[in-house]
Amino acid sequence: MKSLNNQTMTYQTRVFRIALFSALAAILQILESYISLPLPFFRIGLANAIILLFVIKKDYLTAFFITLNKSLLGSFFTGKLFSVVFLLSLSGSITAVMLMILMFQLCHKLISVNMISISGAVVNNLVQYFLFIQLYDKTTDFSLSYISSIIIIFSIIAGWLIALTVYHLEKLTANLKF
Amino acid sequence: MIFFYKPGDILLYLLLAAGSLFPLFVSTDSNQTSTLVEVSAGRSQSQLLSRNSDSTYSFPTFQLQIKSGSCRIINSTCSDHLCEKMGWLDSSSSGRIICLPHKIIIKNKFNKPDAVDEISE
Repeated sequence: MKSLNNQTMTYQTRVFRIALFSALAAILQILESYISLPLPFFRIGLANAIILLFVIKKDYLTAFFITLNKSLLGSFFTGKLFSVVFLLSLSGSITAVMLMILMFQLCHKLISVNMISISGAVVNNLVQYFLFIQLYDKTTDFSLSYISSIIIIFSIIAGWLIALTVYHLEKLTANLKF
Repeated sequence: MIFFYKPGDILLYLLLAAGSLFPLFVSTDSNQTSTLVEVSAGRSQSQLLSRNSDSTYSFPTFQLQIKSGSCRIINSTCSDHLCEKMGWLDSSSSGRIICLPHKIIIKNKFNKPDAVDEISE
């Protein structure tokens, strides 16, 4: 009976965490969609800081569900649910979170959280770009396109900012109990 | 600081630097100029427009302005107008103007270096 209660509590805690942080991530994503940056299509992706926070806390399932919910809620409230934008956002986010989980699980002793964040940002943006090209512009020669260079350079900056946010978030939430 | 640096990072930074610089070195069409603009909307047939004369082409969801060999999107009906903010696409650029809500891609049409111009007998 005691173990069942503990199991129920764990389940409830996880559901609570997923709901709370999904809402936070979605709000960040929606707010960011209203911020106009000098480069079109470039987003910092601050919502990914929440996902990375759970990856480094080794709560992979929560990180994965927050990713799914973030894309669903963010697209729903910006009126882009099940559109091409939603499809690109979802595929980019899922690939990025899978990569970040794999990198952290397999080589966190060799690679810093900062680099995991940068890799996630780069993969997120490149997957979205390549998927869009595959869907609508198959004639593109990737080797001749400098857009991928720009994407990588700005993803490195975004990754740095996300890692910095996670660094402060982790310090803030170190003693926090849900 | 362990959070921001570990030895394995150098390898990945080098990989990213190589990945970002590779297209710049490989690019061969930097000196080429294009006389045609290719407009494709979704999966439908793309349309080729001449950029030799200044004009404005009207499409159902946007207008394409061609001026002094460069082109840009104006008066788009999309919600965010990011395509308008992308500005001018000049004749030597290998970039493109993309409007995601309307699934529109505008790019220069270059002749491939090994393409045959004429066959004489």
